[in-house]
Parts: sequence; C-alpha cells; structure tokens
Amino acid sequence: MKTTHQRAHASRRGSALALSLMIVTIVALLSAMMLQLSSAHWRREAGAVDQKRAFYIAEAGLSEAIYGLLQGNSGIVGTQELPVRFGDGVFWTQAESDAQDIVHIESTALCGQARAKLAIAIELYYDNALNLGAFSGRNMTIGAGAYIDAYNSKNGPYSAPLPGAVLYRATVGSNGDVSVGGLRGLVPTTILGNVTPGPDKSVSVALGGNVVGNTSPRADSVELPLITIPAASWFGPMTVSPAGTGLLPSGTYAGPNMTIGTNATGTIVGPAIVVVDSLHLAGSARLRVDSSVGPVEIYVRQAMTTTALSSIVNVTGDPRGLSLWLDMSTRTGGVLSFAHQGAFHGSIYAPRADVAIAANAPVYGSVVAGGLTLAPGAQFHIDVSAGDLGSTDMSLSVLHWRPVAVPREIAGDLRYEPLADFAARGVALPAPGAGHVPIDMAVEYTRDDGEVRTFRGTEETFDRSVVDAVIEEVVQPPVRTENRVGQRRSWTDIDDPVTAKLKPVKGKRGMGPRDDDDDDDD
Amino acid sequence: MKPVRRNGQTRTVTREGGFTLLELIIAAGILAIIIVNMSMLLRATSQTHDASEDTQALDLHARQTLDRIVIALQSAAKNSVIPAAEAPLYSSAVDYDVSLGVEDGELVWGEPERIGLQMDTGEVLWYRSLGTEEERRVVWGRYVGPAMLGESPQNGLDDNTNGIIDELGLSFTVAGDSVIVRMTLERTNSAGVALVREFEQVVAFRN
Repeated sequence: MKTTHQRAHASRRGSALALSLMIVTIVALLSAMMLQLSSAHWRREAGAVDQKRAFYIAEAGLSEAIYGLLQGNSGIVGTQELPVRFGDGVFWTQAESDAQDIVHIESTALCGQARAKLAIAIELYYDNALNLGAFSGRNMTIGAGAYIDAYNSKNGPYSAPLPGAVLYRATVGSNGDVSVGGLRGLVPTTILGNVTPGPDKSVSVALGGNVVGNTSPRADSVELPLITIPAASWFGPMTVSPAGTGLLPSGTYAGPNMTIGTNATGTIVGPAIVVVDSLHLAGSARLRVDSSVGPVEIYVRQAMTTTALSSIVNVTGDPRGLSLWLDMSTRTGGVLSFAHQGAFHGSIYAPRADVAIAANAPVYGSVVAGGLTLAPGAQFHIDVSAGDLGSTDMSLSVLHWRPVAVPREIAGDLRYEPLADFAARGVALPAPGAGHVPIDMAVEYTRDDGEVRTFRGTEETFDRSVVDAVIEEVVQPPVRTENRVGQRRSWTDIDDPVTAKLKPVKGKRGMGPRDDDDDDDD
Repeated sequence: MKPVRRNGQTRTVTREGGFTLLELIIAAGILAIIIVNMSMLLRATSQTHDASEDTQALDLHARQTLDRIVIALQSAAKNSVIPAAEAPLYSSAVDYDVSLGVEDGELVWGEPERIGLQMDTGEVLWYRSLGTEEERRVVWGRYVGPAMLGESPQNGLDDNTNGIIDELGLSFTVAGDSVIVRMTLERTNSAGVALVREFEQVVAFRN
C-alpha cells in the first residue's frame, strides 16, 4: 500500500523531467544556431582561401609550362580531361605559338569550388649577343639609302615585307649615338624597326630618312662579352692555292691561318668549328660553307681580310648555319671592312673591332660589333633567329600576363570538386612533372578569328574544333636536340660533331687543292 | 485524502497537493538567478561571437577588395600608372592601362581604368573608360576609413610612422617596380563596437 508521501513524489517527477527537457532543448537550439552561423562563416572563409589557392595553382601551372618549353617539350601540361595534381587542386595548361614565335600559354586551375585561369605571352630566345640584330658598341652610322628590315629564318628564306605589314621589327642599337642618313639619289634610308641609341644618346635622322619604329634610348649600356675561343684539334695552316679547291669535313680545326687564294674555293662542311689566328680571302676567293647538316663556326683570333670580289657563301642561305666570331685581340685600331661579293648569310660578332658593311654585300643575319657602319646603299636583313646559333642557354621574356575569365563550362558547376570527383572515379592524377606533353606533331593553322597559330604537342591534346584552316601539318617532327656545337637547340637534327672524324682531303694535312669540281649550287 | 482525528474533530489535510508560497518564492528566485546568469552568459558569448564574426567579416571583405586591386594592378603596365607617387607622397586613386594580349608582336592595351577612394561613402570604386559614354563603375569595397590607422589627416606629419604623410584610408605608393597598397577599414557593428583594421600589400607589376 502506497503512503501519501510516495504518491506526492510520484506526481512531481514528470515536471522535473519536462523542465530538464525544455532547458536541454533551448541549449540545443542555441548551439545549433551558433553552429549554423559558424558554419556559414567558415564556408565563406573557405571559399576565399580556395580562390587564392586556385590563383596560385594557376601560377604554378604557368611556371611548369615554361619549364617544359625550356626543356624542349610542348608547354602543355595535363589536359582538362586528365589534369595534374598540385597541392589541394589541379591544373592544366595549353600552349601555342603565333606568327611571331611568341608563345601563348593559358593555365587553368581548380581548387575546391574555386576556379582560376591565367594567360601569359612569352618570347623564348637564346642568351646570345647575336640577338641584338645590328648593334654597335660605339656610335653607329647608317649611310644614306641604306635599307634595314627583319625576318625569321625559321620560317624560311627572306622575303620582302608587304607594304604596311611589318611582321618582324628590326632591332638596330648602339651604346652611342645613331646617325641615320637621308636620300641617296631618290632612294630613302629605310629602317623597318626600332633604333635604340645608348643611354642619354640620340638618333639623328637626315631628311629623307625613315625609321618605322621607336627611337627611345636604352636605360643601360649593353656590355658585349669577349669571345670565348672553343678548344679545337690542332690542324695546322689551312691554305687553298690560287684557283684550287679544298675541303674541310665536319669536325673541329685549329691552325695559324686560313688562306684562300685568288679564284680558289675552300669548302667547310658543318657541323664544324674552325679556330684560326687570321683569315684571308684573296682576290675573288670563295669560302663556301655547307651548313645543311650542321652549323659552321669560324673563330678568328687576330685578323681578317676580304676583298670586294671575295665571298663567303652559305649554301643553305640560312644565317643560323654560319657565324664569324672575330676576337681581334691584337687589333689596335682601324676598321674591319667587310668587303664582300654578293649576299652574306650569317652572323658576325666582333666586340673589339669596327665593322663596315659595304653596299654591294647585303647581309642576312646579325652583326654585332664594337663599332658598326653601314655604307650608303647597304642592305641589312636582320634574322630574328640569328641568336639560335652558338647559344648556351635559353632565356625568356614575359611580354604579357593577365587573369582571364574562366570558361562557363568549367566555372558553371560550382558543386564540382575535382579531387573528390577523380578520387571517386578511381583516377590517379599525375604529378606536374609527369604531365608534360612532348612534341609529336606540329600544326600551323588559322583560327576562326583569323589569327595564325602553331600548335606543338600530341594529337590527343590538339583541339581541332578551333581550326579554321590548316596551313601546314608535320607529324613527328624532329625532336629538339642539344648539340655540342654551341649547344644549339634546333628543330633540325644535327650530328654530334664529337663523333665526327677529321678527314683531311686526299691524305694531305690541310686544305690542299682538290682535283674534283665543286658542285656549287649557290 | 486522509481524515485526521484530533480532540474528537476530523480535519482534512492536503500537504501533498501543491507548493507553499515559500517554496514557490525560493524556486522562482533560483530560476531567476539561473535565467539571469544564462542570459548574461549568452549575451556575453553572443557579443564576443558577433565581434569576432564582424572582425572576420571585415577582414574577409578587405582581403577580397585587396585581391581585386592586386590582380588589376598586376595586369597593368608600370609606366601607365598615374600618378606614380613615391613615398612620402601617395595617391588615393590610380589610373592605369591593362594589357589585353599580344597581337602581331605588339602588346594590345585595354581602355584606361581607375581604382580610387570615394571619400564621402568610404567606397573603393573601379572605373573603366572614365568620363566617356562607355564608362563602367563597380564598387569593389566599402567601409574605408577617412584616414589610415594612426594617421591624423592634414597635419603634415607622418603620425603612424609608415613613411607616408597624411594618407587617407586608401593609398597607393609606387616603389620601384611595385606599388604598395594600404587600406584601413572602419565599421561599427550592431553592438556599437568600433572595428578598425589596417591592411597592406605590395603588388609587383607584371606587364
């Protein structure tokens, strides 16, 4: 039998429970509210952090693409279908060249729900003074009626630019003043490009002279490095008697002099390095350079003489195939008059000498000298790729950088989280180093907007939907190679001259006379 | 109910039927103390949370504003930035040109842009083609203070010893190939607490 107290206790138990439940419910609601607020704030913070991460991942993508280009790859890293993993996100890059060989790279990055896309335009070049085009360490004089323009030997032989369509700008420069002549008869002096005098120096253009470009002075002087003479096997004097012929096969040669007599022809087959104290071309002597297999580099320590009837003929017509490195260490003054019969396709680097280009010797290539003078009526067609020869390292200059809008198909679905998606699909994303796309094909094409682009990469990474018309398509072009001769990087395969054997003609030591006729094709 | 017999009389006692007044007063007192304490605790927590949240929101707002400024100036050409004020001078607005790309070997520049402080509203405004029919204007940020933190304007002194004299709440100072962006945000939250935050970022020109 229950007592009165027991019944009373029983009646009060329920109210305590209800009170407790009410308090717990209130606390739970407050906690949930706080959690909701914190969660919303955290999401905002996380979104901002992801956006920054995506931006920097895209930056990393640009760097990786540039690294790939410098290594001879296409600059394409990963694809939208299979991007590379970097940090907490992914990226892929696209790279193409335009008609001026400027490489345009786009890097797209996804991190969490954030997206970023950056674009950059870079110019790759070789660390080589020959990239200066026409350059004088001191004052420069361009005679009346002279003509200077530029072209790119990588795109084929020189052709005069169409009126109003300057594809490449000539680079004419000096550490001193530049004097541009006026009319020569009715022919004006014309320079299709920039003329850059030295710091605090100026360009004076005579009446009738025409400079289609900038003439602002440079900020700092250009220091012309002295020539480093490469090591070469001793060979002795290299002499071709008058009216005779001689041949130097591929290889490295060093000797006191190279002398080619009147009406004689000496041939050097590249790839070759020739180091001599002096180079003399007498009368109508001809030094023939066959650079169809590899470049020829001629180093002259002390003196070089040519005549108005002598010639140095580069049979390929490609300036990158011939370079004259004129050290002139014992020269104390005077002008190296580069008298020449006919066109000269090559580059001259003479940091200690004054070089004069004659009117009857049009130059296709680059001339960088301590002092440079172009005679009245001289013609100079600067090869913007001249620096590819004899270079040791590639460098780049960034022309343009900017963030670009992320395409709608990528930015549209903000719920898409790439890492989670690929993980769910069991797809292992490669690291950036493994995502570089090699060059298996090259396609020069016109885009829908009329721009000419060159794609290098693989068929799988080429988006043909953007192609309006294919100009040229090369499947499996030669891979870029590093060659010992100046560590040239080229699209052309070049035999390694280290393995080339020295082959004196007819058992003679030196460039002796040859009986067989030289089948000139120049 | 149990009848109780006392001196021959019968009375009904109902002790278990409710609370005494004293019990109720004590219970109400305890409940009031608990509620007051809880409300004080909740209020303090809420205020702290709100202040923290407002500060974080202000930081986030500042970072987003600065990010926009940084990306815009990174895309600009250094020699296009006007005025290129160097310390101890500054400017609270900059005009610049943005590179759009390279065509035919030449850089293509977009319409001139401006980032500047609207003093009366404390807004950071971005303009394109200012003063033309195609003018575009976007508010990139708010709550910019009238002066930089620690700076008393118009006294000709560098009060906050940051090398800049009398700078406003948004200032641009060119230093070599970079521009230093400084910004002070001020906001009073719902609890009446004044929040002041200062931010600084160095931006390197990319073009």
